[in-house]
Amino acid sequence: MRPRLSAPLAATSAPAPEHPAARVRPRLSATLARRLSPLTWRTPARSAHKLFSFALAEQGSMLDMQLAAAHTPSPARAALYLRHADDEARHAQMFARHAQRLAGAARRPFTLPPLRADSERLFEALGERDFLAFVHHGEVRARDQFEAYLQWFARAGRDAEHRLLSAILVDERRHCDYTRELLAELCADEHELRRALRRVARWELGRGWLRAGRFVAERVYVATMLVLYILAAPLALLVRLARPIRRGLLPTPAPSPPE
Amino acid sequence: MACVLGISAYYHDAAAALVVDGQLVAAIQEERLSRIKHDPGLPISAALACLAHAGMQPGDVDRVAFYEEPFAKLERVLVHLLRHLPRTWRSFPRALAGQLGRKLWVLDQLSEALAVPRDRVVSCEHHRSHAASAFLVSPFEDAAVLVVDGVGEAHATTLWHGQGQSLRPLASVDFPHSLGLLYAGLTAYLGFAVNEGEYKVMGLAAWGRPRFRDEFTKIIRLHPDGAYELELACFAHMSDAELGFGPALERLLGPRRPPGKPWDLADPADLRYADIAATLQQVLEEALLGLARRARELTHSQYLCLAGGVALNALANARLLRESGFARIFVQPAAGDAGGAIGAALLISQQLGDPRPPALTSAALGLAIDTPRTHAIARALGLPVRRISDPAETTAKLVAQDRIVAHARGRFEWGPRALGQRSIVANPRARATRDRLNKLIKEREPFRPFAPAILSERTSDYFAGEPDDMTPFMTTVAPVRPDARDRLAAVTHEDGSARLQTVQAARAPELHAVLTALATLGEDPIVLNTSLNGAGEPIVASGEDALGFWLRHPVDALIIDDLIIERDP
Repeated sequence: MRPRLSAPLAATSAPAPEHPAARVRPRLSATLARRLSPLTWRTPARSAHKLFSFALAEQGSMLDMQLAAAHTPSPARAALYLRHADDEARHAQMFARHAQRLAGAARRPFTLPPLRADSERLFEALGERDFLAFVHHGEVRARDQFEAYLQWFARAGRDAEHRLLSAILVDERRHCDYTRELLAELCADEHELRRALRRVARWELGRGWLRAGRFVAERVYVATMLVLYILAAPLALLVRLARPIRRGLLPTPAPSPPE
Repeated sequence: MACVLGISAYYHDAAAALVVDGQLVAAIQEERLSRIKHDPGLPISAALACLAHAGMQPGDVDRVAFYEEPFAKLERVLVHLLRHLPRTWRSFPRALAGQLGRKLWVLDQLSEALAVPRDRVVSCEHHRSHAASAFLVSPFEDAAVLVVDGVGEAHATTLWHGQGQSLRPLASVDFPHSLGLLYAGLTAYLGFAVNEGEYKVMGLAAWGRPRFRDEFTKIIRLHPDGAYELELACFAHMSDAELGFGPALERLLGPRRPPGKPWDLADPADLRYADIAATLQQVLEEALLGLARRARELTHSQYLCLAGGVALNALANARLLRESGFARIFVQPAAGDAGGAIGAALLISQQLGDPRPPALTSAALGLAIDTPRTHAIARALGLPVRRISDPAETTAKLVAQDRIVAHARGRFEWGPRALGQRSIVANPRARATRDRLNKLIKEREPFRPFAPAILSERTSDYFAGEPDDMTPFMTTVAPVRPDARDRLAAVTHEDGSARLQTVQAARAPELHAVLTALATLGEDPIVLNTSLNGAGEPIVASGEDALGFWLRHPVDALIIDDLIIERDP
């Protein structure tokens, strides 16, 4: 659905040619999406989980756009961010509803949890120009992935999912265009725009590296803690003897004054 | 004279509150700014917003007061993890990661994030912060204080005696016995999310009959001295913080209700769950009555202050006022964990020699809307925005025409209730209005009630009761008079009660003006008042949030201070 823009903004929303730098990594992710589609969408349960992850991503993006609308000094850009947030909220609901239907149709039906996305507060962390570069990058990647999935759904005869992604892709393409235009407005020239896109691509790589590190560290941590837990077993007996569960209404000693 | 910033965080509903020279200047929940419902994170945005509201910088702060003691909490967590070994193997890494990874260092984090010297950051006991948040802003010089929540450092329930500026601890019930966790466990059993589904359980209770008393005597034992004891085999909060209840509860009450399944109270299976909710509510009320009577014996006070998450149970609060023997009861609007921020700030403020603040009369402790900017954004969005000379009269006329109005005026509210500053208001007459609100905007379960807001002086015309210390903050219920039920069909709950808000000009001037205008038009001076948010969203705070709400939800009109945007009828 195309947002209703006021005249000055509508005039700037014509599609603009996309910068090649913005397509380097998205093409890789689109290729991966294309190759992995048969696995990703193999069963209703897997499809439900995948769509639910899209719903979470859309809701997270909605939070970021809402915060961007609150923080940008420009009312015109705030309006665009609010429209974008509105689209993302609608997409999140569409993905979540479809995911829930698929979860109910799984061989072992299950219920998905409520949508609870988090915000990385990227506008505050990156500043408006790099935030826009980040959003543009993400939108291009999402568009390319969705186009790859769309082709697969067409071939597989998955009409419901095809309709869902087709409807959302209309908005995604528009998001790619307007974020590119706004970014161009905020950058002095084409070189600065390219630098912003490259900077954000590097930042995303760094973030991916840290996330991978965290993934490994979490598993090492859990294993270490389980060893510690086993080693602490003798203490359990001591704790049960020394600190039994207290029952009833107990007289309270005066607490210590604030630290 | 001092400036103290109170902080609650890292469980749920993080918040910041600013006390300057003993006066409560601002109090904001982080979720309003981050837009993440029940945001538990460090409330730096809320803290900076409180300071900005007062025209201050972090460097002006004399103390930052955190609402609980991190090391005492770590000790309780460790002791319980070890005591319940080996059942705690799954939660051990997660619980320790939470404690050692961030909670233990919260004072250092606050010092760093706010650029305040570490020696100015202090902590207070969790239940003491709660007790202070209720008593020190109450209208009472001498009162019993009852704090009931899930758990603080070690206590789940505490009784206090408040006199002047002092709070004296009297008795406690310690974790794992906890009324808050009893309610949370049953909330999870009934298929709702813990820490946000408790209101739903309370609403559901009105549809059921308390026919599971025998089963509940095996779940919780109430003692004559006010103490209570949980049958711990029915619960899992000692070993798994996320599950809440154990297999013994399902053996006793039958299988849990699947989360997310749509409710149909014509279905006997769902009615059975409503009966369980009704029994839980009745048992909780009796447990609270026992504690309140004990508090009265210990303090000989005429007045009671309630705090902790359980104090947001409006049905129980009404029964306590009727049956506990206390003449008056006060509940602060953010009685849950958010309220701890106020309590911690006030405790430290008094320790620094500041006076006790005057009684809390208004919950409008948040930020106002930047109207010129909101106007500019609305115009950029191409919305049909225009200025109006009398927003109250315009709102009243729209409500009289059965239109649903989003109403955002003044500073936003403190606590989980919309009290007229960020509300959706509508005509309370037609049930169809309630159904439309439930279906199109709030997407709530069909059994959940909407609340009325009424001119304070006209309360007894419609309700069997008078305004009290709780009604301005919507923390109690009152029976709707039988002759008024037809006129209040959209806000009368299944059991004939309503969670009313009585409105006075000094407490909520914007809403008071709307109700007065309704009376002038010859209408009942009552509106249906529900929070200005969609499903799963925090209540609107800023003008941008209000415009975002307008884009996503089909309300008929949006009033932002003196701006109006309307949809064609």
